[in-house]
Amino acid sequence: MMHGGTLVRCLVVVALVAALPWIAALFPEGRAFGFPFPAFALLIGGPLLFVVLAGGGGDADARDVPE
Amino acid sequence: MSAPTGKTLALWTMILVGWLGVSALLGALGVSAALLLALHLLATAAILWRIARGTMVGQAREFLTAYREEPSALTPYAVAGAWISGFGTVGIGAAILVQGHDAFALVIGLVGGLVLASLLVAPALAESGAVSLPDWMIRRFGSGAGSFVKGALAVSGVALIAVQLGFAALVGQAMFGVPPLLLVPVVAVLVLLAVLAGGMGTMVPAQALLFAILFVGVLVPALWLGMAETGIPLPHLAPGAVLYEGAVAEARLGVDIGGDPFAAMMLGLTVLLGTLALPHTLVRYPSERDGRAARYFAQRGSLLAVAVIAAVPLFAITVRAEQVFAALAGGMPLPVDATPAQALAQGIAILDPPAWLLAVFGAGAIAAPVAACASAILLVASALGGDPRRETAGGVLSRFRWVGAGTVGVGAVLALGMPVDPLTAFFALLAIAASAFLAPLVLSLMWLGLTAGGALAGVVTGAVVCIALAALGWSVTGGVAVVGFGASAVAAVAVSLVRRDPEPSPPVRIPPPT
Repeated sequence: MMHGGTLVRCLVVVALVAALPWIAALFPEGRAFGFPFPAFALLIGGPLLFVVLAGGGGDADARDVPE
Repeated sequence: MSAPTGKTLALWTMILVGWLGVSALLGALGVSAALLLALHLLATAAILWRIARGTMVGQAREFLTAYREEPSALTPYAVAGAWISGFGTVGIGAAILVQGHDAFALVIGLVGGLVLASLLVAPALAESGAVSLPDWMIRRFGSGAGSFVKGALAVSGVALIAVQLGFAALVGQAMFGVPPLLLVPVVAVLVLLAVLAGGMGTMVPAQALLFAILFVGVLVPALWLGMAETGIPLPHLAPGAVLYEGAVAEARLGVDIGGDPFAAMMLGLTVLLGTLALPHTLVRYPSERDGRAARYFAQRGSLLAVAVIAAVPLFAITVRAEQVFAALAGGMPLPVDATPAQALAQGIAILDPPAWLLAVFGAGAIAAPVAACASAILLVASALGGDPRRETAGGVLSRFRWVGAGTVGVGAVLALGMPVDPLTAFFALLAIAASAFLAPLVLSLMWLGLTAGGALAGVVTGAVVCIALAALGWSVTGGVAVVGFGASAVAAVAVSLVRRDPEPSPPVRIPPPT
């Protein structure tokens, strides 16, 4: 069955997809890395956060990496 | 196929750079973008042909599970290629042009779906011990559910192929003036080359190649555009300055740029839930070695997908900004109610890229739907081709190939006759997949108590709710998927609790994160 940590990560991903547009709308005048904050949150910040949440991945089999 | 060596990668990189140089030279000599696109597609077909010849199989079981014990360094690239699809490239670009800044949420929805697949669905299906997605579903719900499962997966696969070929046709017509009747059969041939010879063994390296074409096809033109517009050499960061200047100009024009968070949220959730439930994205996982390998591949695939998807909005953002600047300078009205085809054609006219860059982008935008279609073919073939464990004299393998070829044919005909644009059709597909399939899928992985009757009730309820709400005029991206998903989950749980299964299914093991 599902590990508790995995369940939490899944729920956080769904919650972020739902919440990021609202969070972005709270700071319409904000800036981040040259972006208007709402666009940064949806185009750059959110996807990078998701990649971090996907996490780990360091347990590759030796057969699965380029020689 | 074994992992590529550093020498092989260096050789292919040099070939790629040389090929781009030749196409740039031809473009400078006046060769049209459409002809350069034809050259790119021909080169793609030649490499796919080479992959197909080297990965041909003679048994049906190898067709579905070629990589269970073999090296598979190419798999993350293949995962990313199939996941991005035509929607992740030209679809997101067209959506931003048509729907405005709210469509930025599509990026987080698409990436979020892939991350959820890597955390939850991929490892669980890989640990199930099944040889294919239909095989797992029949194990989970019993042989009595076989016909329904196979039928549902086949219909989903054909619909997906039709929509993806529709995206390819959209690219050809809107960006190159090539009629769909000419381009769709060519793309269908590429799809067949990408999967038919060796099934999974052909598809993984083919999709990795298609991802490489997609990667170059998006990032090279994005690099050019970002440098030309802002001087920033990283395409993912270039939209910032363009967005800022565009916002200033829109404010001077008095255009309301305030987004609608609710609409953006529903767009993101529709894409997240829908892509997670589209069966073509799941078809690979039962064939992975184990849950850890499946998770590793899906995680790496997420990173690769982000690298491409996050660069796509630059094109649409720049087009929109140029339209606003033109309106401010010359009093020209901003375009309203454009279709995706009109929006893309206007975008190409505004950006006016060199012919060779347009052709490179076109090749990438066509590679993406080809990769997605390859997975969909494997799905339909595994559903309708028969049981590979009962192989006799190549009969099942032959059926796999005939079913695959027939599926592409039907999909091509449907794509040519599609009454709506592929973007709308894909959103509808996402809404119905999220409504009908997602709750039974997730519950079947997480809850042993879900019965076949409960799953069937979930599928039927979700589908009925989705179709009814759409028929009442509710936008398919306006929350239909969320409501349908909820109704489906309630129906599945309620029926499972009321009618208990005397023989519960074996547990599914999801390995913990490392």
